[in-house]
Amino acid sequence: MKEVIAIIRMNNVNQTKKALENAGFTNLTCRKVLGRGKNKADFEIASGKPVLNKNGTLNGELVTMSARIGQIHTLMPKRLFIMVVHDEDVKKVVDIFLEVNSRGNPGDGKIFVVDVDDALSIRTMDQGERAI
Amino acid sequence: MVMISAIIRPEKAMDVLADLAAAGFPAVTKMDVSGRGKQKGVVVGNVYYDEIPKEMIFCVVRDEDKDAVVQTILNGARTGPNGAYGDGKIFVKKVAEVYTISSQTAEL
Repeated sequence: MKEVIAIIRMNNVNQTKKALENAGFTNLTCRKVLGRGKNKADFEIASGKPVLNKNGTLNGELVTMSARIGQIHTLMPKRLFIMVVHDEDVKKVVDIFLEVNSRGNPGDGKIFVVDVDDALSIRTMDQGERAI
Repeated sequence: MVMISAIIRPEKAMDVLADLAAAGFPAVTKMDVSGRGKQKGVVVGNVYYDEIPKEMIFCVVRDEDKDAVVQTILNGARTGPNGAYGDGKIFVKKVAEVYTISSQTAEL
């Protein structure tokens, strides 16, 4: 069995959950996290603010801090999905994540697949593949 | 690829993130956690705290970058010259596959 860890955009959570459910993968754990990637977050795009001139002013006026930050390495809110699935289902789950979340922009997220040695179900006390 | 997850003091989290970015590893995810270690929590005055708030940061890097990242976190998260109880732990585990959603490629 494998653990699929996916970090995706906050506003794609419902679509992803629905797509996973339609494919028969209902078991997941999800939580809010903060993260940053290789690229710097561009607040000029996010806020739609006009580009400032070199000394940080716009039409001669000093602008607010948020408009001035521009591009920095900052933590952005993301959603972390954790799913433990059978080996043969890993590709299906990964494909769903790739398909639903892809917008072709940096910040769409990452998917990690990690080996899991054993699993146990607390209610049924099943062990191994049967526990999932 | 290896996943390095570190549980560190909340007040050290931003220092460690800045150190990692300066060392060339900007990609990292951070979450709030609470937990206890070998010292079974902490006693302050008459109050016993079982779970102590911590920050968990994790990042996935290439195998050859493992030592650099671990060393950066070790140096950044330590308090005082000799360290102190509660400074945290670092765990490293193997990652079988990595996908980038925006480019649909199986690489970091």
